[in-house]
Amino acid sequence: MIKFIIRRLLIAIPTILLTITIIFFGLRILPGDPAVAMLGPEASPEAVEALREQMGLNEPLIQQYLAFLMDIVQGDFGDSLISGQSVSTQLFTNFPNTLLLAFTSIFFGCLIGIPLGIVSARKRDTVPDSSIRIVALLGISVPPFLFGIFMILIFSLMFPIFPSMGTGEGFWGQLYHLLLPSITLGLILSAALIRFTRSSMLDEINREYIRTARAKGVPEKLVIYKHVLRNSLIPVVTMIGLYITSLLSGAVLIETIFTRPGLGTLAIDAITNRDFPVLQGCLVLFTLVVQIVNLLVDISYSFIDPKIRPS
Amino acid sequence: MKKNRVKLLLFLLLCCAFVAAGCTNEESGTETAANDDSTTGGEKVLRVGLASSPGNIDPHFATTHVELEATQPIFNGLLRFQPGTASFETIEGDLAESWEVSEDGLAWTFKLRKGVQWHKGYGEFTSADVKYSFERIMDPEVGSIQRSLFKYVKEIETPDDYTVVLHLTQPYPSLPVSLVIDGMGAGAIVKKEAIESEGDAEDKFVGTGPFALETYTPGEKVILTKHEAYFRGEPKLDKIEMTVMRDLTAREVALVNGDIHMTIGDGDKLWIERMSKEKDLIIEKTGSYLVSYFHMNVEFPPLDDIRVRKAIAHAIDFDSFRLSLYDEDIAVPLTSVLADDAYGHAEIGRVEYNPELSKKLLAEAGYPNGLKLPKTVTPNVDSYIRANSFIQEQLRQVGIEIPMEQVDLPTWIPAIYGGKNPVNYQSSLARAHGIVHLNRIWHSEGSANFPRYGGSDELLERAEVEMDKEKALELYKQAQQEIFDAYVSIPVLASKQINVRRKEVDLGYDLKATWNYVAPKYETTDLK
Repeated sequence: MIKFIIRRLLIAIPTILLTITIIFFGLRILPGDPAVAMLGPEASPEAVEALREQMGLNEPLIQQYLAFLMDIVQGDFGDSLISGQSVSTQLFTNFPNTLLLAFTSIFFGCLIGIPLGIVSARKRDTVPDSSIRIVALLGISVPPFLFGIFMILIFSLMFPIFPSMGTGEGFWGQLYHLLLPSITLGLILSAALIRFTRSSMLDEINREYIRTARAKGVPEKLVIYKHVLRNSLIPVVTMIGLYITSLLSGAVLIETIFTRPGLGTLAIDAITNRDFPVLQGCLVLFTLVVQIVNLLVDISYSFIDPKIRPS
Repeated sequence: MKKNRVKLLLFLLLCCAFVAAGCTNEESGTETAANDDSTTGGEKVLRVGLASSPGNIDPHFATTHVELEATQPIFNGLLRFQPGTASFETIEGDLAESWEVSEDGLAWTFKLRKGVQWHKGYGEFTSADVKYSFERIMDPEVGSIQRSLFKYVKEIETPDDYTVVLHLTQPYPSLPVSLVIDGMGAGAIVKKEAIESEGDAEDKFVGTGPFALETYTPGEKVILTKHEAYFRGEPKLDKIEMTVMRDLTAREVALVNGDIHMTIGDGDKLWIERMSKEKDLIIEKTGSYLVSYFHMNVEFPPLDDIRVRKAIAHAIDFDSFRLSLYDEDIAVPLTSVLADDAYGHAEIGRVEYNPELSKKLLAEAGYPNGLKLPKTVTPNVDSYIRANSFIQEQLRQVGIEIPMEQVDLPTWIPAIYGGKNPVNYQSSLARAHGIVHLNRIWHSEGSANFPRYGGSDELLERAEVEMDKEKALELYKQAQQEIFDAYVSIPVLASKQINVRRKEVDLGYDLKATWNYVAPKYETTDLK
């Protein structure tokens, strides 16, 4: 297993390097100048030129790229072009908030989505199944920002149970502020999970080994939870892994609506201001997260299905 | 056993995230318990919702309204608008007690207040601070956006600690609007030792204003604390906490719940109608005006032909557009290229909606079957999308096609300022002094000359240096007429700013106009 993890980590290095290269050059192709974004459109051409020089934007691109690579290796993402603050500090401040939101959303998503998916599969073509499917379809169709606004209007304004903004202080304060945004994002995830668990279970339920298990007289509960569910979980776990990336983009909207600091809002501000170092930092971190999640998904397979345990 | 390990790993990761989030938010966490109580832990804290993140809070670089809002309570200038106003005629001394202009208009002498204390123990403010601040703005190496406001300043002299003399290269009677601290003025006096220190924003941006910068977290919040030794008296508030809240609905809910006290409103009819029903809120529709024009770039044929420009102008029913989006008391029609609250405004007239005349003019110009203009890029901002769709549709009805492509603001801004668009619907805050506004947009060297027009340069230059008030006003009027008749910029509307706050906020002044979008905060601002 350790060999497998090391091999995967080594494979991840060229992937990350390639992604970083694409990010670096891709950003520089974007129209819009950070010096103009910082000085405002009415700045004189001399002022823009002076600032570009100061920011190092006039250096040859390849030189900028090599300096950027060297800095990244040392864990230095540079300073924000706009605020002058260290990018690493900004990432360190914001990342835990996004991570926390992502974790708790997945928790709520699984808590709601997987059981409902199982019920839906077991009660196939009945009223509960149709109802769950309609709700899931609705959940997939409603845009996250609209759903977030609905949740805030209902649970913060009409029935003021949850706070509408901020991150809170202390463990319980944070947990309290986290509930509504993570339930919101979790519900969106659960809609997709319901559909996926259902179809995956239905695929499995018709297999011969299940028929055999039933014929042997294995109790139905055991058939469902020990055989069908366990084997249906592989595509579901893959989907959760893939969903991490869309969860990060969904978190942008949820962070905006619930006024939570996080990587999403940091990245959006960086795009608006053409703040290359901050945006690079965010994207590199996103890349790392996706790589790590993929690795975790692969490792989790071996726990769910020992047949695919790496030798 | 292995299952347990996975569970343990997940649990530990979750705990780590909590702990890390706890560590990083210790200082910046938002206290949001829904309440109507104005005090937090015995302190009076005014909570403000910012619509976007203040990127740069160096007062010599601040340009967006949220940046200006964050810097306004920290700094003083030589001059300021009287609280609650934003007019050339209400400019008063701030750090300057009095000022006078020499006969030839080339030397402006400012007498400074004595005993003004800097924040954070930097001692007493003197004329050397003014000289340093203005020279910093004028230094091309520094690259301040406000440099153009000092274009006629030749030298700054400090005969003693409490006198500053600005020597100009030519008479410039509108100089006071360049020196007011509010809005786009260049007045902020900064402290050399702080600015040149190696510290963070909190160490660098030290002022003499009623509130000092305590914390600045980009993308999240700005916290200001009161400056007890403020020269106009100790501020009534203990703190001002500005939180970045990008979503309008989030700001709305927080305001109604009492989580924030004030924010920028929305000019949309339905929004105002809904918020007006909230009994705990005060909605004020104030100046200065946000003025909107439809500019036609004369460098793009056939827009160099005035008949084509006239045809376009008469084809768009801007009055219907205005009334479909705004209430009559929020957006008024423009009767000149200057808004009626700008110094020097004169009633010139309005462009009549007449599609028949438009078709006739097109035929005269040699386009009886209509014409197609080159592509124009437009911003993906709601108000602009609505306006541009309306314009596109109206012009289509007289046979004029304008292909439009929506882009983000950082792409649109260089396109419009670089003269790459044939036509532009554009809104900006009206400058308090007419000649400043006219020069900015319609002088060939103006920083915002979107129509690339230079037909009134001579008149504008004469008007700019005229020291005699009556003669100057007459020249401003002539310039407005000339620009209006050139059909390069169609005045569309002037809309008011929507300030919304909870009833417990006592601004300490009567709010008629503001240059900073949201009501400025002074030492008199209080929570009841």
